[in-house]
Amino acid sequence: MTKPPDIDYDEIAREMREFSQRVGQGLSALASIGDVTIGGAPKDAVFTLDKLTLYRYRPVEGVAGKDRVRVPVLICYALVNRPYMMDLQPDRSIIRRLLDRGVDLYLIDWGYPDGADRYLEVSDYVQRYLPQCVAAVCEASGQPQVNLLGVCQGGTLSLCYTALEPQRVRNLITMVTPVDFRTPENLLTKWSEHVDLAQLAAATGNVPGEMLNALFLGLMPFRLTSQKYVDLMDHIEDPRALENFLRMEKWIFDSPDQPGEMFRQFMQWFVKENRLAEGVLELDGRPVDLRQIRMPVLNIFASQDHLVPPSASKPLARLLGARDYTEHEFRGGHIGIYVSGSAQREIPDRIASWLRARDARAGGVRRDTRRR
Amino acid sequence: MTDRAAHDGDWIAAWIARQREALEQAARARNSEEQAADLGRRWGEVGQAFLDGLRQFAGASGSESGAGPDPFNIHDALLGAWTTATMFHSSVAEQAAELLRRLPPVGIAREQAEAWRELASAQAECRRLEHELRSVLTKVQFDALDLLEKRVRERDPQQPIGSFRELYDLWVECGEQVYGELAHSPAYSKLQAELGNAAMRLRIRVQTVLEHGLKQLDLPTRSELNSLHRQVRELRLELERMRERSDGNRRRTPAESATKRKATQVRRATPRKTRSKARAR
Repeated sequence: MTKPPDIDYDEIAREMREFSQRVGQGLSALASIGDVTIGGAPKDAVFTLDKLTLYRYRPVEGVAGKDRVRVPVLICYALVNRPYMMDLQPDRSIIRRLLDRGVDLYLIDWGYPDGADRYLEVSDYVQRYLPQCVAAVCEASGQPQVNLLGVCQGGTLSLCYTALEPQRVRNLITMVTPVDFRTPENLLTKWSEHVDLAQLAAATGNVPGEMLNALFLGLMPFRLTSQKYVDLMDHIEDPRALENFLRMEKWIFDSPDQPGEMFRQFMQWFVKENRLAEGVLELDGRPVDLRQIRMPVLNIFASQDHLVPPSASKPLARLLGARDYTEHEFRGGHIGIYVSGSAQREIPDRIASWLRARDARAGGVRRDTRRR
Repeated sequence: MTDRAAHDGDWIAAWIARQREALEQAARARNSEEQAADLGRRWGEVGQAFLDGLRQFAGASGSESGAGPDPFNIHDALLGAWTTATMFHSSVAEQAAELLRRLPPVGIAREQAEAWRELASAQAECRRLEHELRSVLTKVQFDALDLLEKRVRERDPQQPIGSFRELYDLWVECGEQVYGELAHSPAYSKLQAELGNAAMRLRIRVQTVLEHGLKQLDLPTRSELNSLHRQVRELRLELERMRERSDGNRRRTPAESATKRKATQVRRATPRKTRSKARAR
């Protein structure tokens, strides 16, 4: 090996000393930082069913009536992580930015499933929980329809629901949503190919969140188990950065267990057999035909998403029956799309302006029965 | 470059050589338990490589940070505790498993013996696959070091690696590249899935044996609970279907529709538990 010409060992020793000092300072800072707070946009529970809670975020005062989006937006988040990623902290909150833009927001929190939920099926989520949440939103808002915003796996469930009940959805927005699971970049699909899912569900009951976390870390082990903690040392003197880091760590590892049968069906039907994209998915005997989705659709994906690569989201364009289809590519990753600075500027603006344009075009029901 | 650096030679080459030597040492370990422990430690050091390097150079430079208690030793201590425990249990379990494998299941305890045999067999399979996966992951580390060396060689001499941090970042990049290629390969997907399947099989075998013991003591088992959960779910679905049918019938008269609207208002923001009471009222 050729020797680097200008190595200064004193310089390296200095680098090491500084790093050691930072580690020491970091440990003190970590010890003193206490619990981190999450989210905080004011919200009220408007409906509960089993483990799920439907929240309505309190609208922001001072948004002119003409700037409000009349049809409420119902956010259907994934089951895999907690939905507070949408409202992580005041300055990293897609929820707050949407409220600022006059969007009336509802969110489904699926809760933490336990042993009693191990036999829940995909159809429970698509044909029982989602319809009841939509009905609750319609009743609370006085609108006959909702704008449905599905996030990640929640987007896949939203697509199924919308295909089955298109009359209840005014506009559909999907965010980092997998549709076609059999694309070359999709590592999770490759890994699941030989997994005996029935045995997995039988052995674990509900599939532990920790097991999924380990799987996700395994996608980029050097970066996710090592480098990111070394990088933290660069910001260890900044309490705000440290708090942001800890908040994100909490979200990453706060993973509910997955109801065993739901997990088995989702992995088998959607991931391994790609039934949704192939057009052969049936739920409780009803075909889920994406061509039934004819209302306007906004599909948002992240160009550097390693969990849901764009190639898994973009096929939606050719599978829908919608004429009004819009794609939005965000330059970032699966997490950055919620919390990065550019996401805060870009994503809520895009969603609100897209909705407002369609609100004006179609004309919502002008009944202001919103509850405070 | 200082005299000291010239005397010590190429620091990057030294670091790579040291990592490689450690991996080789681990791979040559006497038995599978020792190997497992050592490889586990090595793999753990993936996360500590930067700190490890700092320690090494702190020692080499004779700086203050190289003296006294090692501030980064917590990880090794924790891992050591786990691997020691694993070694003890695994060697006992292996002996028991071997004994069981040789015993034919006959007589009054035939069923239990067979359950134990199946457990032992599942455990052996799990350990074999675990060992296989560990070897593959060790190769990733070797290959990552090879690639790192190659990248350093090919680097523009006008832009030398100027800090240990830079070397660490490059090592991470190499590691991800090597691992990424492996992770996408069908062979790796298959091996990982086989290990997962074997682990789940083992878990089910353990459950079977445990449940037999619980039944002897007339204690509830997971299978019984599952059966109850299934029944409760079926009853709930049936109840919902009956409610829907009933609601459909009631919608026929305006007066009854008004009643339904009232009931729906109660349902809003009301947990399911209390809904039946609301309906009763």
